[in-house]
Amino acid sequence: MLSDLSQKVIHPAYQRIIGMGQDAVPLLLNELSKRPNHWFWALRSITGANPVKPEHRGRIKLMAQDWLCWGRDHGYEC
Amino acid sequence: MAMSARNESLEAEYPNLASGNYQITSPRTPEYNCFAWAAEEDDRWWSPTSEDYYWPEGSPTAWDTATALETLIQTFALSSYKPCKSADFEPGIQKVAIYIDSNGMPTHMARQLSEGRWTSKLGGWEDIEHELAGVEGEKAYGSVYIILGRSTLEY
Repeated sequence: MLSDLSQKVIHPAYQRIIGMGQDAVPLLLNELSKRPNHWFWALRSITGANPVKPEHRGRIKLMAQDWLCWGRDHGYEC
Repeated sequence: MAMSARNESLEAEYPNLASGNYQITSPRTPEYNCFAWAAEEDDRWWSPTSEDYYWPEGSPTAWDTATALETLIQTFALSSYKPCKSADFEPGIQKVAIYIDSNGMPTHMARQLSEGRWTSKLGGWEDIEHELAGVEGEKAYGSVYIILGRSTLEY
């Protein structure tokens, strides 16, 4: 079980999600709202946004809240 | 805090556990990882490879086969950890272990508990108490490369 995120994100399944492009954004935001997990790299890759506040770095529930706030600001229902 | 004993899925991932003595000591959570747990934190995920994540200020962040091991050693050196000759328990010395794979990339860190047992956070899974070799192996975290230690009197 990996602790190194750079290895997690090159996993084929993770890359397939990034490959979905904008279609994946509402799905990932919905997932973050229910079960915060490490979808932040995918969201950054797809959207180019980085809404995580510096003081929230690494704290995944707070990182998820930052992304959900970004999503609502950008018209996503989350 | 012991939560439960053996777990088949963990033993499949870490075969050495099956022949040793280990215990699961936390619920499964993605909120922190082994680097954080080695540093006695359980509320954030440490990573030098993404600016979204926490990495100690002033630490190096280079993370490839040529640099990652030194990055990790230097990062813990900022918290006064220095290389140790032995993984044996020594009163007054807090020890951590760095595991590497066959390419020399760091894969994992464990922290020594009193009486010489070790504790690990298994990526996004549980914490376990284990023997140092319990998470070694080609399918697991490779092998222990270095033990770092610091005086507990300062912390």
